[in-house]
Amino acid sequence: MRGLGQRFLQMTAVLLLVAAGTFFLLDLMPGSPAIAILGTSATPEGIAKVEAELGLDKPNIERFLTWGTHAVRGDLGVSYRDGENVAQAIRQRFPTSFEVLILTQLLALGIAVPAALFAASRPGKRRDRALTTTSFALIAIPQFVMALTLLIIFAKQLQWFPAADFVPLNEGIIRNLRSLVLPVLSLSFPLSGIYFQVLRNDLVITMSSDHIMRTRASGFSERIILLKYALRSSSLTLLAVVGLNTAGLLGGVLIIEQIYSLPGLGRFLFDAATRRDIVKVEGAVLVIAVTYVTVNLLVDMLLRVFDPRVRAASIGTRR
Amino acid sequence: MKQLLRFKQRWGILGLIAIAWIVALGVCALFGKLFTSHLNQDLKNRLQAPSFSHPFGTNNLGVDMLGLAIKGARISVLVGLAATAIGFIGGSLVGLTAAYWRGRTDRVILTFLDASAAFPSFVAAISVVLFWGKSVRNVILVIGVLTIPVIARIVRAASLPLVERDFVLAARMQGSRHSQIIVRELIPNVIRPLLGFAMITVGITISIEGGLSFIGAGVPDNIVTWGQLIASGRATVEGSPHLVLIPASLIFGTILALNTLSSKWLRGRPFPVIKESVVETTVSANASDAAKMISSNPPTDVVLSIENLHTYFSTPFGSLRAVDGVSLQLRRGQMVALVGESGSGKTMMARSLLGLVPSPPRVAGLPGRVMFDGQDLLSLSSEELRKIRGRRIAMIFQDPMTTLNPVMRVGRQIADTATLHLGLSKKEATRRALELLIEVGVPDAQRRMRAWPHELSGGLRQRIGIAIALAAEPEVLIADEPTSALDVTIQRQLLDLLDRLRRYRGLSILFITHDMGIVASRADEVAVMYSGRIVEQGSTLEVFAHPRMPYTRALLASIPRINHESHKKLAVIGGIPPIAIGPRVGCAFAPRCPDVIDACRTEIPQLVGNTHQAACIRNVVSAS
Ligand code: SF4
Repeated sequence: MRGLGQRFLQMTAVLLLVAAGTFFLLDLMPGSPAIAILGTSATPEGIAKVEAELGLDKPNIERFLTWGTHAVRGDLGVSYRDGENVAQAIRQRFPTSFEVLILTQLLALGIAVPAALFAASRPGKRRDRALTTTSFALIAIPQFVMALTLLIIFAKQLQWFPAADFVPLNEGIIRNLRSLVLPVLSLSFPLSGIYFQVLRNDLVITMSSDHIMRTRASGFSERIILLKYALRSSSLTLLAVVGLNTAGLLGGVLIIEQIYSLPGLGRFLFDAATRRDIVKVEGAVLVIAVTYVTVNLLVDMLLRVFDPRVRAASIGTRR
Repeated sequence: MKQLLRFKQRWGILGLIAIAWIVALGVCALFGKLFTSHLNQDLKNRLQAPSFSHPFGTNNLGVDMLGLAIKGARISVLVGLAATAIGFIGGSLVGLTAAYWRGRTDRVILTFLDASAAFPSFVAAISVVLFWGKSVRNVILVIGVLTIPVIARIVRAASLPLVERDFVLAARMQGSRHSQIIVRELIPNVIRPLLGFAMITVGITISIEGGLSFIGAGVPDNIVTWGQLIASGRATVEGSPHLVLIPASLIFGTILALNTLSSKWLRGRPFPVIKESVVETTVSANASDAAKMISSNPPTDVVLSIENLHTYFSTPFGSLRAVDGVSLQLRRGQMVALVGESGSGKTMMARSLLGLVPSPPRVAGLPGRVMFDGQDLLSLSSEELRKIRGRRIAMIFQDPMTTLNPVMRVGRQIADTATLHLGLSKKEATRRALELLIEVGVPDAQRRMRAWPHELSGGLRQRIGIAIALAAEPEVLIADEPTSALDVTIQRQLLDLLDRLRRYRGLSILFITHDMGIVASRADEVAVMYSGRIVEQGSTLEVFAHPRMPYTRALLASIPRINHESHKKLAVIGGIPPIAIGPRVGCAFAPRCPDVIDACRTEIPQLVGNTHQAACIRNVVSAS
């Protein structure tokens, strides 16, 4: 399949771009990591010595290439700041973030898909307008506001859920899930609003399309038409949008992690970045990018299964 | 006053509230300084809940929150607008470039866009602000730059289809400069949806600024924004939640207002779209008498009897008379051709029969009738109608590319219909589908069962459409321009197929077309439709030999006669069919008719005659 081969090339390019982009961006930032290690009172000689030890005196291209070749073998290096093994540190954080990612996407879809089907079954009618307005409201609530509000109501006032003590998965799945309810809710509400709108609009367009009219003319019921015929050909954009959110949910939910004290990649990345711990930042960004690329490859393959036209277009046999 | 009402109609209550909100916000952002110069600390009145003197309460230093909220609007709005501007200018440039040059440029840009999506950009924003220093300028720059890829994706997606459209291609052919084409042809066409999206983006960027300030990586601490207020209220959130909730609701309200405005604005198209309007079916009094006369004496072998059918669409300019009192009969094994230009209402008529007009709530009590097997199709519930659709009356359509489901194998589409109506098992249905494919003359049927619609040629696709229609052995087939998109040879083959089907299966066919030529040798009867009405009707022989209505004559004259020694110049009918809105005055064909007389403009011609009927004043005049 030539289409897939091309995809792989593009994936590699994306990973390279992300890794190099992060590396040189951090390198451009003012101040040497050596100063960060030694403190502002460091002497120039001291700085030079530390830089030599860390290999920071070499040109940045060379450093990037060294780092890159190690990274390909799964060795993400050792932090300049605290000597921590970066791959290991990330391995501790990743499962939590990944769990949040999966749960959030599932919940958001679980809310959005039935709602969109319900709304699209009577476009323009009361149920559609009510749901569309609700979805706007969900999107409009800033994430940190949602998180704070849920925290105040359900953790502080009602005390239904723990406020800010995360229980890892290996200490019991029930307690783990309980500690994730509020953060996952805060993340998936706004997302479900977006997913709803994407799917609802596609469904409405599909339902007024010619092939659905033909299906109607063949005597299928509206229910079957919606569930069996329209949903499938309308879910393509939604799938793509879901895939695009991977990186943000994995490493960009800093605020939620902070409010609920989750040991996730967002805080890890934030701490590393503010301390100019290039090695840690680079490692985390790479892991996130690899996950993103993998998820999107999966989405792409799903799209191919769902829609033969995508397949045809990428092989180049479109009429 | 009237204008005010129209304004309200256009925007709705929600829209008006949204507009008011935005205007108030603008005033606060521009002139807020005038009211907030005297904001003072008052440590005696710290952390007060909302009260009369402090409608929004006071913060931990005793400063009035209302004043702070107004003050905060300025920078929040500034950040929102400026960052959106950066994002849009950058994003449009990138997106238009990708869409316009396509090919390799597009692929490279896409890879960059992908890379930026693979990057947790919020964390990146935080670190950049922290490194460069907290300042309003840096916050704007960072949010703006991070918005670029998002906008670029949208601009690219919106302009890609335009680039292939005729007007852009034409401009390219004429050798216009690229920048000219982009500025003159592309931008004006994508700008409208984009501006709608820009409004939403302003809201989103305001919220991102809030997030940045909340985490301590936003504007400097001495500058007030809504996000800052939330961040500083967080410490005391349990005792005084209003310190967080008030600025939070301001952000929420602003985003909601902008979203509402943009969706109303995008929806407010100047012209009505028929799909969104309501259909009413009505019968005029004297016409229904005529219908009764027809049905009181029904010939026994009539399968489908359309009696005085009306389909109206309500538009803001009045009722659009798509079908305006049509009566037509179809006998067993007969083929009746319904001929007319596009816009004559023939397709709407066909779809009205089975309740397939968009948004079909019919006004109860005022139907025409469509009699089929002793029941009036128009009065059936949608449940009952469904048992007839596809099962006893099937349809085929003009464009099988769009009417076949693109994501299902064709064999499955045939089998599904068979299963639905005949209750066949999966295996039986598959076998039936295969038989049908063979019957409609699809070569290599076994293999084609597993083909996707886009893999087939137009002719084959239409054969699939016919196979689906035949799956449940219907008695009536309504064929809506089934061959118009195909070339002449394929057209003839398909017509032969339909001919065979009606001979061997006793299928009755209502054949809708704009082409008199393909009707001639196959239809038993012809009905000519113009502006929602039938203007001439009779046996094919009669109508072809002695057309009585000038419009029919024009249609006949426009058939190319290949076998004539000299290709006669086609009688081209000038003008276009009239838009049937408002009361009917005179003959609808009058503006284009070569034989028009004054009476035609005032008197509505009725169908007259026995077996061969025509609606033309001149015809009556000359016949009497
Ligand atoms: S009624 Fe008059 S305008 Fe209409 S077709 Fe006859 S001659 Fe022409």
